[in-house]
Amino acid sequence: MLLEIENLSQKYGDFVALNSISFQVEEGVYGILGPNGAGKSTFMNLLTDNVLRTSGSISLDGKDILSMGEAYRDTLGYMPQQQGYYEDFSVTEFLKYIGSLKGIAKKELNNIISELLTRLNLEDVRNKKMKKLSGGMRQRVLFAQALLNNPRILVLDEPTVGLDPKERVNMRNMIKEISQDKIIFVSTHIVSDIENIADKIILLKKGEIVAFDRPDNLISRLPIEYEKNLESVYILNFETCD
Amino acid sequence: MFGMEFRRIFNRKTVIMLLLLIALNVTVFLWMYKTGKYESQVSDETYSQHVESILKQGDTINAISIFNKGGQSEYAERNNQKTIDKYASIGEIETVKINGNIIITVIKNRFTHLTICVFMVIFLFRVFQGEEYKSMQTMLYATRNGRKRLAIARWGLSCVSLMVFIILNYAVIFGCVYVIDGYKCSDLLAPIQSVVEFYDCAMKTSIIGYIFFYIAATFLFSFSILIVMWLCMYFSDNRILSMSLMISLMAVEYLMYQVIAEQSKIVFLKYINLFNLVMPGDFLYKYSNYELFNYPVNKLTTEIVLSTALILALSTIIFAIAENKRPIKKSSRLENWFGNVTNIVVGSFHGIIGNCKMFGLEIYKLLIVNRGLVYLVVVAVISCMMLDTSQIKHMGIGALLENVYNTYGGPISEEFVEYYNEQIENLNAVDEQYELALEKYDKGIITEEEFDREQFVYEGYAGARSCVDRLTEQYSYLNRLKSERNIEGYLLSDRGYRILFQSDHSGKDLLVAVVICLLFCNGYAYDKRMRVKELIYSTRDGRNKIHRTRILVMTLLCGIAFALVYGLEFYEIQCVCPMRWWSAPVQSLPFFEGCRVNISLGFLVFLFEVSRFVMMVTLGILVYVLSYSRSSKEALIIPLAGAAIYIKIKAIANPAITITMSAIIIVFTVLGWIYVVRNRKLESKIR
Repeated sequence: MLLEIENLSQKYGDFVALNSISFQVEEGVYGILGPNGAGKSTFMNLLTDNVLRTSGSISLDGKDILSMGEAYRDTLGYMPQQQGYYEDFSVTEFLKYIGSLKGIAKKELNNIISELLTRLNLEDVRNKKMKKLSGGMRQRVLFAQALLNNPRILVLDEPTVGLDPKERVNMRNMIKEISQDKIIFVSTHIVSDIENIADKIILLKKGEIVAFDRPDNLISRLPIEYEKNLESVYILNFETCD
Repeated sequence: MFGMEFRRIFNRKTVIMLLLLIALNVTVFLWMYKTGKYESQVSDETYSQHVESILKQGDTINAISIFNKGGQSEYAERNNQKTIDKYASIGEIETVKINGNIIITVIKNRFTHLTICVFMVIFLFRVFQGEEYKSMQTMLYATRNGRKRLAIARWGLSCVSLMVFIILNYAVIFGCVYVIDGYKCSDLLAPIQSVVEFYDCAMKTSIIGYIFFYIAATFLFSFSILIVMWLCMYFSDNRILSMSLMISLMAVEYLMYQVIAEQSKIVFLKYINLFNLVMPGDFLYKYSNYELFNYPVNKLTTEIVLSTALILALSTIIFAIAENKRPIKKSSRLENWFGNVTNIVVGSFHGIIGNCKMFGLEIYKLLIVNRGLVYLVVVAVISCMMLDTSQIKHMGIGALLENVYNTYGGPISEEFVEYYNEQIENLNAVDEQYELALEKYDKGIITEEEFDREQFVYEGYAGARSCVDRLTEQYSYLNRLKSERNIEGYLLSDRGYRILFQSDHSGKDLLVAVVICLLFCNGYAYDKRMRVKELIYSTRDGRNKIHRTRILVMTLLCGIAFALVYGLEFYEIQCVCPMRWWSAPVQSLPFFEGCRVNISLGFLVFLFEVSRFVMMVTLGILVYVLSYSRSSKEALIIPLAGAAIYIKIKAIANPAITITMSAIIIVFTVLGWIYVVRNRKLESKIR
């Protein structure tokens, strides 16, 4: 599976959110790092076809995702940064609702939901209303909905926000585990979350890619006075931002 | 997907709300039904005579228009010919004598259309609820079926649910009429023209057929409006902006509907108009055309074509938008401008609220936060729809009596006695003359023709005789009152007083009870639900002063509800059949003969209205007290059930029982309130 991004640009009026970025990715986990306004969320929205691009192309195995339409969205799993949910739905109902939108057969969907709820420690709250869940629980439900259709491309925008340390580790492990046959994009502010699981890191700054490499390569290129970790890479590249 | 979408939109709360809406519609309907406004008329003219007269009239117009060909008359000629052809084709219908009330209720009950509009707004808000946040939209749009297919599923659901809602509404209404009037099923198979109001209906169908047609047409019209509203919702993610667009659109349409005259060249804008679909006019049961480029176009056909075209075209646009719209986009200039204006307005509003003291904030909490304003607006709309201020045009004896009351009303005067004696003398003279004529006729002195003339004169005085009989009754009653109890009664019209004191006001009482329970059931329960009870109790004024303030707020809101229901009722009575002579003793009205207290009618009216108000405030306090120890649902249901029982007993019991019952309720409510204010148990629990 090959996802190609070519000269992708996005403008909102005069503001350039993404400026002609190009790269190719295959199966693996890709961490997207950047300060506020770097274009991370815009990139995520372009990947999920939630915003109409100004120019450039995104193609999956040679086909433009816009022309693929439903076939592309069938391969997609998306967890947005803000928590969006229907208040009156219980956890199971919410997952069934999203599952039905993803076109999953009812019987199969029930099995998948049970499996995911167990995996994400949500068994006890399966019948609880979404509005009554804690922020961390809701975050896990949203992660579960992204995985319902066993997506080939998984887009996770700040997935670990609001989780306790144990759950963060659990989610990190799960992302790594399912990444064998998937392209996973993880956008985050918490650098340590992707340090150990990302195959490659994309550093975005003012809508442009400043680095696209393996984490160890990025760390090895750090000047001597910096501590050898991904956080230092972040600080070095974005110290003048925010 | 359809099922899940159904489950999402029609949650328990929405279903209860819709059922209440149907119940409200039926209550209003029954209320109106009892007033006799939905009764079918009686006509001396048969249907065949009616059609014949239209055809004859058409021929006459045709004959005249021969001399006036071309220009303006071209449309008139065509219209005339089209009407003749239409009536000629349906003229042979054989009507039967039936009770037409069941079908009259359909065409006259406008409140159902309003109910349907409310349903559509609730439905659309439920459809898009949760999606005002981009994150939910982006999540849905990233799924395989989250675009066009989801829109199609919602479209289907709106179609089915609207149809079900309309059928339910009419089924309940028909059921009520059926139970009240006891129809024979064969009546429903009679031609629609058997009912006088449908003489101009140019359809060959039975009553049941017309009912189906009417429901189908209502659905078609309503669904087209729903689709228009849906498109407005797509216009912006800002719900207020979307609704403003919809309201502006409807306002323009309403203006055109109202302002454009029938003779205008742009009369088509009056009928190719959304307002006709919201509140269909009489074109649904009366054949009529309007002018479109010199050609007569049928109004009903126009609305059907317009709604069908709207549904097809706008649905296609909606599906296309659903597929191609993206949740993330740059806000338009209008949205930015509207956002800025909204921010300023909301900011100013919160600035004002921020300056309010406890009283103002409690009002804000009940009216805005707990949606009390919506309930009051609904009550205002219902009351205004019920309001009929056109003065009764008295005929025959009624007119004669009104004339006497206007001229000689008040304490019995010499002028009245003189007038009364004069009338009696006149009538006696007429009687004598008639008896003499009868005697002569029996003896063969006068011919039958001459006797008929005398009899005609005698019968002409029947109204005056009834009037004098009524005056005699009243006069002797007032004389008896004077001699037996030394009370100087007034001669006055009792119509208005009869309506106020003797009519059944259960419907209005129940409406008031519902609005009070809805307004105040959140009074204390809201604090508990939002977990601020402890916080309030820990403040200086959070124990005693707050309760007193809330009672004051309740009194104010009860006052508003009182003005909206009973105030308007009073105004209506004063317009229709005014209550005069407020200084008259209550015993002036024969139905208050047994009253042992000597007070004036004005004071009694005052006491009557005050007692209503006191009962309203009592109910409000009762709801508040219950919300202290129970949930808001219980605080709504228990007093409402109690109020319904109270209203029922009040309607059938005598005044003494009602007064005793009311006094007991007031005492227990006040005790309950003191318990709430003085209770220390709660404090210990909090600690």
